[in-house]
Amino acid sequence: MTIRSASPRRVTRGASLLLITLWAYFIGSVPAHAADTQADFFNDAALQDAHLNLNAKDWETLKANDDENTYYPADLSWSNVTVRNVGIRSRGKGTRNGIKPGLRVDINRYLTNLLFLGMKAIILDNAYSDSTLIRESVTMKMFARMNVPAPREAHIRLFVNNEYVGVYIAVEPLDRTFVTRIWGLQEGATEFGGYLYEYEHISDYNMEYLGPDLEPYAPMFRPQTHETDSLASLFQPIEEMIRTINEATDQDFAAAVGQYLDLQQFMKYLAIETFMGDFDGFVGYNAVNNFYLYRFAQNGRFQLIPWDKDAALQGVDLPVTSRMDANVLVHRAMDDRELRQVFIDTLAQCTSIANEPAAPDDPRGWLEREIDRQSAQIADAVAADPVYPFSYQQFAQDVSVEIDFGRNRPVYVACEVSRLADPGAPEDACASIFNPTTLKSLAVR
Amino acid sequence: MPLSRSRWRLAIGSCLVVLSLARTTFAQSAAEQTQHDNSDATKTKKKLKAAKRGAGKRKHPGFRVGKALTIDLSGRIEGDLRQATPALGYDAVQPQWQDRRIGVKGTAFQRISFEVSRELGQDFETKIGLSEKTAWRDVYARTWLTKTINIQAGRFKLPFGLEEMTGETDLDFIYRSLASRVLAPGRDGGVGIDGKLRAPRRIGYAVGFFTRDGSNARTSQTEGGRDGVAGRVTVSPFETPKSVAPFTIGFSAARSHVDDNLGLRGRTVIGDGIFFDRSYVNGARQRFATDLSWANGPASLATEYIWDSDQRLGMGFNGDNLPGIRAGGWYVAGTWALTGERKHGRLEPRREFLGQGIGAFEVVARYEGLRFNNASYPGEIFGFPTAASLQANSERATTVGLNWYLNRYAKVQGDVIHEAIADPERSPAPSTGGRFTSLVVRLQFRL
Repeated sequence: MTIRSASPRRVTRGASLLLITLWAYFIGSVPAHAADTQADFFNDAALQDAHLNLNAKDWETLKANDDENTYYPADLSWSNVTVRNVGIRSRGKGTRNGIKPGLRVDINRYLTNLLFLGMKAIILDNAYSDSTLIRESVTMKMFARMNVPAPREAHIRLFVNNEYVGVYIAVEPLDRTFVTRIWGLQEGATEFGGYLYEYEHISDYNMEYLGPDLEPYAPMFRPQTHETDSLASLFQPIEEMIRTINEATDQDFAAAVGQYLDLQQFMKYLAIETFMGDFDGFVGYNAVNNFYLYRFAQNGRFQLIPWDKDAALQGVDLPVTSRMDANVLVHRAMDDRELRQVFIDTLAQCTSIANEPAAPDDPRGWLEREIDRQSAQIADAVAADPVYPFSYQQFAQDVSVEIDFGRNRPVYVACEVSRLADPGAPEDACASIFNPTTLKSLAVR
Repeated sequence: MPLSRSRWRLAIGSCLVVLSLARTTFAQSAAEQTQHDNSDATKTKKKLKAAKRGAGKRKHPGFRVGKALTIDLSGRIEGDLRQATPALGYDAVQPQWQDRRIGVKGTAFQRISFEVSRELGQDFETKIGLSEKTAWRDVYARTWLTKTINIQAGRFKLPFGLEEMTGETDLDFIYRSLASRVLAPGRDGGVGIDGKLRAPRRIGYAVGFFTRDGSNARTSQTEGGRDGVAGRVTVSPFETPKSVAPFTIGFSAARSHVDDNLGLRGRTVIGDGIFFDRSYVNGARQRFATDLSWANGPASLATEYIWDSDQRLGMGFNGDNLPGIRAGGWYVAGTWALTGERKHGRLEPRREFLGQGIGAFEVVARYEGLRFNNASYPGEIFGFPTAASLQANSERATTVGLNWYLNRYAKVQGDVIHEAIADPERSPAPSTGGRFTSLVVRLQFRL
């Protein structure tokens, strides 16, 4: 065997190559500086400040044309992080307006490799219809505490071109990044990951079967992943699920529908939404509303993800079975003893969490404390908000109502749980729970 | 992202190391220098001849066992410095690794040649998920059966296109053309035959079957196509006069099948902007290309047109077919060796830098385009995806550059790239009407 490379020159060359290779590895492995993280951004322990800088004319145009989804280039800054050349646009449905526009910030709108703390987008929710700006953030926190995947949220003071434009809620968007965070890389994969849909309220809909054609389902379940996939891949499973919800026999309901929908998780979701007094949720006044549907790549089953809970924390004595009869899925699921029990057990768990004490000298439960904490944290910023659509007095008054909700909703739901557990109890057994006499007896207990 | 002081030091260090290598390698005797390879798929015949000449005359370090086995070590390292580009939001110089590749090439029993090469790190495209670049690059064996038939098996480039078949170190520009990078297939596993016909001898051919349809069309998260068949024919119609003899015409075609997978997407030259997003496609993927090339003395010219069509069978509401996604790309490029070297792929400097001269200098220019046609989709009326994202979009790019070949091993390239995208809203530079200019310097060392 002959080995070439014996000359000093070749050795030198080889050594140089080795050196350059090691150096290349060194460059690749230079540790990053300790950096801000998504957890820091969504840390709601303190009010955050975020800045958007963009052409002043673009900002005015965005506000003047708030009903359009036109993007404008901007720079986003938070803490020590600045990302340049992101895209922002007006967003929202009922809350869309040009005075305090809700904003979607698409970090990689223009530059495909651009990320903000690993995220491709963030939502800056104007919470325009929520006088206290905390209904959604408190509700999402309850979902998270109950181990139901929900977007992370934190209040921010938003500055546009260094001018304070009000209190917003930074919301984690429901997209592939969210799916990856919750269920891992395989589910969040671009091509073979799961299917995510945003429910779009077109008209009142209560999960009735709309027939075998896929077209009626398309406008209601708007794909957020696989947006250009074959329409059969996107909507056939939805059509099949809804057909089964409507056509399965009572005896077979849980097993048949369970092939398409995680019914245990669904009952849990429903119970949390009910406990939190969401007037515009799955059994809200608008029929079904405000949720995302996720279909797992692994097993093809659907699951609900909560969204837009700015109508929560209302109706302290709203019966937990309110409006359920109208919804095909809900009333059929409630007729199943096992699923009904999941619903009741989850209500009991919510009650327990809401009542969780902080310290011996503080009798308030977690829910009341959380409402109080979040509202106190943003109070000054709300007072200074130049485009807050309510008066500060209104803010203070509504906060006190919500604190009352936080204090008394667990009491009411505990009563409802007892009623549901007793098949002989009348429907209105808890209707008078907040009468002075009843309250007195509860206090004695 | 501003360039930190430490990164600056490292970047400057990189230049110094490359220059020191240039100085070291200059000392190589001229007798050791052999003609460079024309492409990654180095021809077996050439290798076998080289093996006969003896190991001591090779350009790569390596070893041999009699006449039975020769193995050469090879390697390549490339780093880019990209000038601040305010239109894109880059306020500071962007340093970026491209290739850090090592490998071996060799021959066995004077009849088989082989190559195995592997990347040691991720390049920019892999990092941002633009295309799938697996760590293993060329991994193939090739045998010479007759003068007209070579058989090759393993992982190598699908025979398609002119520029795509050119090895990276022989490229005249820092980045391949948009047409080649987006529409040509790239590498995959398969078998192929190629050769040159005896009569007339100036016809070359290559054809192969591949399990998939090339790494350019997929990413780590997308599958791409399967069962790729690709072929390429080159014809050099003139034997005389000498000035037109190098004129070569090429035709390429490829067909594969895509099973409800994401298709191709329009991207900018450097790759950090997407001007046409990919859609799911289902059915046949067909590619055609034609090219012309010519080189004489210090000058060269080349042009190429590539066309791609992806079917969307059964993807409508009632299982009806949707119109296919179609794209076309082209370029016209020219080079001129200022120092007078003969253009034959990568220049070989007559007088190397820091030795007898200044190395070789070459000016290069390219004008190119890439266009995706309208892509309708029934969900458009319901808002998915947004109608605007389905509209046709295109890019035109002009590149002017200077290449400095320090010696056979080291090269410095500087390219100014001006890009213009028809729809500014789907460009990386909406604030400048979709137009932006980038300056990139690449340091390349190969062994």
